[in-house]
Amino acid sequence: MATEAFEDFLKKKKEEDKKVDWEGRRNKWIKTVNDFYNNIHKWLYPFVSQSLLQIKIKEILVSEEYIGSYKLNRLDISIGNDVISLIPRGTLILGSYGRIDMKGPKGDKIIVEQKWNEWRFVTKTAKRELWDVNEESFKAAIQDLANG
Amino acid sequence: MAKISLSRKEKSIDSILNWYEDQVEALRDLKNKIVRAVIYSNAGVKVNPKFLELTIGEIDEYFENSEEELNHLVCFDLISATEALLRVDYYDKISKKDKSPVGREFRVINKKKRNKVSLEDDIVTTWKTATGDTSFSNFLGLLKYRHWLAHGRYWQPKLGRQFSVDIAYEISENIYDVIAVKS
Repeated sequence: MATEAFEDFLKKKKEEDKKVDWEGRRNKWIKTVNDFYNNIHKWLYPFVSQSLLQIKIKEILVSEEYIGSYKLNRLDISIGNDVISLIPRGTLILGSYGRIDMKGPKGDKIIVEQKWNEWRFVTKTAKRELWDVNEESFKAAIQDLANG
Repeated sequence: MAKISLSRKEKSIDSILNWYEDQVEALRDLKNKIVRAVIYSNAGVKVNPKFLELTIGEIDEYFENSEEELNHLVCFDLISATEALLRVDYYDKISKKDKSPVGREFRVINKKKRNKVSLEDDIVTTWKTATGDTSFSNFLGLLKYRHWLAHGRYWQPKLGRQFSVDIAYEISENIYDVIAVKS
């Protein structure tokens, strides 16, 4: 009887796990992050071509419960002596499909993927504010996070 | 005798432990609710907005810190309840002119110190000397820990051991047992 109950418990847990397509979730997250990076490259290309800034890509390992470990890129945007980094934190985030942290000498910003391929900045203050990530807001964020 | 009006509102260590178990369960239920909302992208679940944007690792860390804080506060409560037991017993022994060695020693202390009796130096040390029970030495260690908690934890404590709710409860329970036998 105890063995049957244990087996039922294990079967139930397996069913629960099946309900979530972890591999599909991970692949979609990786793809949308790469699409987002492509947009950033487009937005910044005119400045890269004038050698006013540099974008370096570094492969990192992201580890998430349920999903496991996978490789994803971080972007390091160099402007003079400052580096602004975009570091993907994962897709299992409360309230969104993923999060990228944007870090610079003057602080951090959080970017979330609220719907697939819809990226927004979010403040972690008491009054939570969200605004779209687009060419204009992204450049403004770089200026906010860099010295000077 | 030192004039003190006793409230008789002391808490029992069992009621504290019972409350602690409820809080741990509630914290774990809340954590599970939030983690499930992350896993199933369940937008319908109402959660405190402070958890938005957190990864599962950050949620784990948040709740580990919450449990650690709960442990500190519950230890504080257990130690305070045991202090109340020791002090009430002290006043009872004096008012009843208790004839036990501990009671006699308490009356000597009371004559000397009146209402300035020290929990550590007088009450606990008297019990420790009279019974030789290690629970009282352990309780002195717990009092150092409570002192650190009560004064805002601003220094690095030298406690000699890590205290937990289980340890604080065990030490307190032993003291209750010793006092019940000797009273």
